[in-house]
Amino acid sequence: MALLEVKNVGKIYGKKGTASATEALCQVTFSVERGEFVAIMGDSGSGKTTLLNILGSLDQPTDGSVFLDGRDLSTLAKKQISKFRREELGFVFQDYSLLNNFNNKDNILLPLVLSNTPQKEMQERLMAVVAPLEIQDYLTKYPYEVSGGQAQRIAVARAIVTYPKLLLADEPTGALDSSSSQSLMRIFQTLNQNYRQTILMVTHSVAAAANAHRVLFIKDGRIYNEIYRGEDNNVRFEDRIAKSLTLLNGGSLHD
Amino acid sequence: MTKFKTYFKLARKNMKSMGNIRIPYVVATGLAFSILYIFIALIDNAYIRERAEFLVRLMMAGAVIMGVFVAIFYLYTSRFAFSQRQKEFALYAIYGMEGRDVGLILAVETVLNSLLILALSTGVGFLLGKVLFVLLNRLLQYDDVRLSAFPFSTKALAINAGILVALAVVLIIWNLFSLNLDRPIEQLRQDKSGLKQRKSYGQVILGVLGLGLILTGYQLARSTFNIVTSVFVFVIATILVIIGTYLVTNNILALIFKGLRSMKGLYYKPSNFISFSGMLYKLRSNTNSLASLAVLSTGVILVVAVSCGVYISLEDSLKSNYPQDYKLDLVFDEDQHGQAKEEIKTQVLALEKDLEASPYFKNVHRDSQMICPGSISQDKELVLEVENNLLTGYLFLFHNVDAYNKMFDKDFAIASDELVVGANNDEILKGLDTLKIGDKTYKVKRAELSIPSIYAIDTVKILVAEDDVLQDIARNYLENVQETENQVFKPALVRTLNFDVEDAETVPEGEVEKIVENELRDSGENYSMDVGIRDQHRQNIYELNGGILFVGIFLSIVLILGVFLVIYYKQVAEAIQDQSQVSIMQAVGLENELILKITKKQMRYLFIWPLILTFSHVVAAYPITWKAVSMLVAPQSKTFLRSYVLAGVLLLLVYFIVYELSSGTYYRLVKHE
Ligand SMILES: Nc1ncnc2c1ncn2[C@@H]1O[C@H](COP(=O)(O)OP(=O)(O)OP(=O)(O)O)[C@@H](O)[C@H]1O
Ligand SMILES: [Mg+2]
Repeated sequence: MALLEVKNVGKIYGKKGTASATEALCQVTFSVERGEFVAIMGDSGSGKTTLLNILGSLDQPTDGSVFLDGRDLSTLAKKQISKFRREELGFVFQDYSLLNNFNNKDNILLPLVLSNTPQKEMQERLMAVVAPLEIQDYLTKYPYEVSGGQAQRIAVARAIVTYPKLLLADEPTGALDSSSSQSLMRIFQTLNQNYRQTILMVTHSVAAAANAHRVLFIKDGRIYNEIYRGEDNNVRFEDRIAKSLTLLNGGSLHD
Repeated sequence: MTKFKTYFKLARKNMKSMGNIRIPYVVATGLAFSILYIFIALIDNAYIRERAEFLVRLMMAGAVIMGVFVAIFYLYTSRFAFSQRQKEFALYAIYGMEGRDVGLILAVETVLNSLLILALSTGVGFLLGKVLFVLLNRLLQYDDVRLSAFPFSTKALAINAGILVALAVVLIIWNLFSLNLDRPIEQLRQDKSGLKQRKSYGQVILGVLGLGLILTGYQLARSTFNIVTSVFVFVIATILVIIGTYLVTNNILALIFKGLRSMKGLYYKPSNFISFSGMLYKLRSNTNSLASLAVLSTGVILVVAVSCGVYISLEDSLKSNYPQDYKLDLVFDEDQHGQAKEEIKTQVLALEKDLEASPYFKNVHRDSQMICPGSISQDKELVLEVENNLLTGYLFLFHNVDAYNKMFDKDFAIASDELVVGANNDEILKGLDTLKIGDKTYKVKRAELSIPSIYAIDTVKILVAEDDVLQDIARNYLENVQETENQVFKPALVRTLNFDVEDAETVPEGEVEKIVENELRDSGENYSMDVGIRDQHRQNIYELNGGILFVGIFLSIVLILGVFLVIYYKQVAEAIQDQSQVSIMQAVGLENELILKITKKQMRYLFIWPLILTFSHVVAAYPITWKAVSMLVAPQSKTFLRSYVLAGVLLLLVYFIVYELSSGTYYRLVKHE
């Protein structure tokens, strides 16, 4: 069974049938296997963030259902949702979303503290994520005292310190320059290959998407296309993604 | 011109969109200025001017203090609004506006604001002023007032307008200078950077310094100083405590939470984790408003307590000066210089009978008192100093114990070698168990005694067993007196008769004088007399002191407005800071309820702190304000304490109501995101 199953999910903002209603998602169906690294691409306003929010139980679909590890998210009671979000999911946002009132170390520990993790275990888990992310030097600093790339790595550390089943990332490289983006993508690759971390990442960057096993294309709230990496290397995969994007935008491949 | 029109439009739009900050600002400053209007109008008022000269002077002082407060509020609130708008200015800069343009928009806004405040304050001031004019006259016990006696005051309008123009100029210049459009990106991120936690050792030094200043101030307020110098001491103590309050608030609180944070076992618990670091974050900025709250709240309590204390002590004070309707003071030359004679005693007894026999008077009570300046030496001896300068000496009031008991419903019983001693400054009597007067040594019983307030200096009251002892003392004490030019107080043995009237309306003018002259004409004594009528005196003291309550009420209203503004703006500032934090915490998996619970708790802790400081300051200030009030009236410690309790309750009420009201705004803003 797949880790994540999305079945006929639809989302309408505003009251149905009124003029102000926006259909952000429609009949979205796909699944993600354990250990898979999936990228989602699409135009601005196509519904990527909406989808990710629904998967992360930050928002409810108006239609269809989402199963994580066989469990229907819509059956979670309100109280369970926070716990579920904390323990089974990891989030990385475009704007890092670190709390300025904590230093970086405490930002990383936040979800563990909330789950009443014993101190010793917290320390061990912290050490385990610090090494691959190379954030040793920034732990005692505050989020506003480090660069964007460093902050994003802290945010990734916070997202994975709970060993989540699924790591959700919404344009994690959106605010980073190309070298920081590359290093972040290398980290995602490592997490995925060495720790079998399942990752679902929204991105506008072809280069970033080329790190994934599979790319889903969304257009006007619907899944439009998906391509697999197969045996391709990053460069060739990048090329194919770029071509698919052009098609998605209704362009021709020859101009 | 079209450019100006655009600015006007933009300014008006901005003002509309900042309702949360601007409406309370206009209302509060408008009210503050209306109070200023009323004050100036009252000072300018012909009716008041004719009747209460002293009050006019008092109100002028009040108006100056209020003017300063109002100006501070105006600048504080305007600058608060300014600081909340950094992002907006940064966006203007990014869109390519120049400093001059933004400055113009701000200037237009300031002018519009000022006009609004002027209109509001004049309207409210004029109407409210009529009501308060009547109230003031009630307090002064003038009964025949008409509303038309409080006409519109163009002078008050002009002065208010002048102040507003001056403040607007200051504000516009200040804003222009602090407008920084060179680094808009930094401005956009302003809430995230530039607010680094201070280093701990610096905080320890400043915090300890602050504590030291506060304690020094407290000590000063308690220590022995003469009543005349105590005004100066009070000012110094106040300044020390205010500075200390800011230092302590800015440093000690943060240190406490840093300490808590370093206790790992305690810190890494879900709710502590969030609340400790949340507190530390909040404490990096805006702690000045907490300190300001403490200062303002202390001001409210002291002003209310002192002005009410004075007012409700007026009757007590009157009673201690005039135990009955009439008071006849007689000073016989022979009595002075220790040559007290039996004849005088007999004559006074005869006079007592005459008064009792008069159809107009009744209930005659005899009394004798002696007033003399002096001091108490190291070996507990009373030293007479007629040339004494009042900064170092005291005034001694000797009083017959029976007369005192009757007058104040007490039952002091003393032997002829004993004295009951009380003072309006406890320090004087420290360790005094015996007192030597002339060649006699008396045992001293300490007690709290009612001391007439007409003497604005340290006063010692001594009750003696009987008139003979008084004469004894007079002989021993006064016989060496030689009158000199520089004498401030004449030592005097005063024989007093207190009595009531049958019907105040029917007493013929000069009736008492007539009776006295009839009795004493043939005795050949040299004497002088003074007839005091309580109702006339009442008029005087209400005129003198009723205004203090009035000024006090107004001053406290202005201070309460300040408390309101600071609490409100603090909440708004917190809310704006907390908005982004709350949404992140939700995304990371924190229950909404927990977040709200914790923020509620944090806000409560934050706002309890100024109250703790306030009550500590008030307790420390009690003795010195007691002394200050004793200068004006003769308060009973119970009544005075009651007015303190009243003031404290009033402040708590205002504080919590404003807190609750403004926390509604807080939650609305936080949840909005
Ligand atoms: N809270 C909301 N209320 C109403 N409409 C919304 C809301 N959030 C998003 N939308 C609408 O839903 C659609 C999808 O928005 P979404 O944020 O998912 O797009 P996106 O693919 O993430 O775009 P981008 O790449 O720009 O981030 C858009 O048309 C948007 O206007
Ligand atoms: Mg998006």
